[in-house]
Order: sequence, then C-alpha cells, then structure tokens
Amino acid sequence: MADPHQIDPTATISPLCDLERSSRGSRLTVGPRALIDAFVKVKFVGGLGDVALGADSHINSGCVIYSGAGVTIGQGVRIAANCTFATPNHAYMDRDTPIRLQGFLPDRGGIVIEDDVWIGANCVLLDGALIRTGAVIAAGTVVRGEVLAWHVVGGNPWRTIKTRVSARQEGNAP
Amino acid sequence: MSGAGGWPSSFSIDPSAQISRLADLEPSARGTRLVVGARSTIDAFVKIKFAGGGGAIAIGADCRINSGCVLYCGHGITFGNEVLVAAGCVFVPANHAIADTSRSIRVQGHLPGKGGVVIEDDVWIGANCVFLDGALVRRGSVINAGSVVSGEISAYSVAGGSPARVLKAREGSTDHG
Repeated sequence: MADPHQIDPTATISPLCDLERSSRGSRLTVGPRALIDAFVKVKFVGGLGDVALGADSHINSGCVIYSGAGVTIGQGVRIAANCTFATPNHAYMDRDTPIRLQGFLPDRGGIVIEDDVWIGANCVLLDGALIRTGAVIAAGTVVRGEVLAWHVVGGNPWRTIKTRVSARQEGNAP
Repeated sequence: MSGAGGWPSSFSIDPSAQISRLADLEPSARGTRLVVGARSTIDAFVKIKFAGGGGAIAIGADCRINSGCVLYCGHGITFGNEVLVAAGCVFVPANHAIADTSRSIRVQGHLPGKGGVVIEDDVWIGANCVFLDGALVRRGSVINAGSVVSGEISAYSVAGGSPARVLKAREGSTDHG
C-alpha cells in the first residue's frame, strides 16, 4: 500500500520517530525543509482530522501529536521538546461507565498554529487551541483557546506576559 | 534469562497486552518485577526504568500508557485497571537526598519512601503530568494536563495544578464518594 503521508522530499524525518498511519483515511503532510526529530509520535486517534506541518517548521524530540479533529501547523513554527498536542478529550459524564468506554467529547475544531510561532518545551495544547501569527508560548504552558498574534503568554492557566514590539508592528498594530 | 513471550524473566506481561517495539522496558538488575495486565497498551517512546528504589511496577488490565511517558520504579508504582495516561507523563516515586550541601547531590542517595505512586481504577491522566512519591489517585478521578501530583486525590474528582488539588467533583448519577 502506498504511503498515505505526503512528505516533501526536502523535509527531514528522523528514523527514530513514529508516524502512524490512519486506518480511516486521515493523512500527515509535511512541507519543504520541515523537521520532525527523534521520538516524535504522531497518532491518528479521536477524530477524522489531518495533521499538517508547514514549510520550515520544526518539531523537536519527544513531542506527541494526537490528530483528533485536526492539527494544522503553519510555516516557520518552532516547537521545543516534549510538547503534547492533546486534541481529543475523553467524555467522563457517567461515573458508572469506565472513562475508557465513554468515547470522546464533540471536538472544538482541532488545533491551529499560525506562522512564525515559537512554543517552549513541555507545553500542552488542548483541542480548540488557536495560536495566532508571531506568538510565543513560554515553556510548560497549557494552552486552551485563542492566543493573539504577537503575544507572549505563559502559565497554567495561561495569561499574557507581554506583547512583542517590532518595527513590523508600528505601522500595523495587532 | 528470557521469560514468557521473550521478555526478561522479571517481567510478567499478559500475552494480550500490546507493547510498542519502540518502547524501552529496561529490566531490573535486582530482578524486581514488572507486571502488565490483559489488553493494556504501552506506546512508542515509553521508558520504564528500575532506578531510585527497589519498588515493583504493576500495571493492571485495559490501561493505556501513551507515548513519551517515563516510569522510574523508585518506591513502587501501581496502576489499577482502565487507567488512561496521556502522552508525556512522568512517574518518579523517588527523591534525591539534598540535606548536605558539602557533598554533591549525586552521592547522597535517596530519601525514605512515602508509599510510591498508586493510581486506582478508571482514572484519566492528562498530558505532561508528573507524579511524585506519595501520590495516590483514587478511583474514577481525572487529572488535568500539566499537573504535579504528590499527595492524595479523592475518588471521582477532577484535579489539577502544581501541586495538584481537587477542583470539582465529577458529575454523574452515582455517589461513590
């Protein structure tokens, strides 16, 4: 069977990562010059979404991506080691049924990371996380919801630490 | 020294369990046991290491240990049945002794145990949590992503933070209190 994944020939994929294949037609796409390092796991579970990694984006060692409703990572994104994209959420409303057998909650749209984002080590991104262009996420942050463009955020629950100031923004404030 | 299923003799892994070939289950030099129950799964890049103490590691039936989790035996790790562990969690029931600043931490050994780590049945643990010596998660509880747990979490609760505390009780019809 042909490999369902679409990996650009200029991308670097460590031989020590584990990119599973979906049994339900979901696929992984990896853009030019992107990097997936050792001990990265991509698992198609909890939804029918695809996983897309844009050009020049890097996923460092120990990161784990669950596909869920979909994970879309833009261009030039830097993701440090041991981050988890925890897209699906277990349902657990019923105490009398094991959580294992209660399936997943309705999705919140998957995870979207826009271009030029830096995510520090050991972060967790939950379903519905939307990180806008140029944002920076401090190490160890648990991200739910929208992070605005050019903002630097951190903590659990996260809060804005500051905004990035640059010449680019002076004429085009976020 | 090979035991059933080609595993080391100190391992007792149910034949129906699924262990990724990319997981690294390192046997104890002292023969301390690793038990994995029926239909449990251990995914790629999970590391199990017998270090930091002489405790055993026992994982029940129908558990899920996802990628990137690390289990050091320390003073012992016990999972019940149907324990769901998301990616990147660390279980380390061992603490370095640090009281003597005239010597390096490396040579000071470990502190006495506080009971190891115990996770009861039907618990869901979110991604990137850390469980330290003395962590005891009672039946049916949910631990939020990124939590650090070093004490007891009562049954059927939702807990989170560092240190983790109970945030609310799980809803549902039956009070198993």
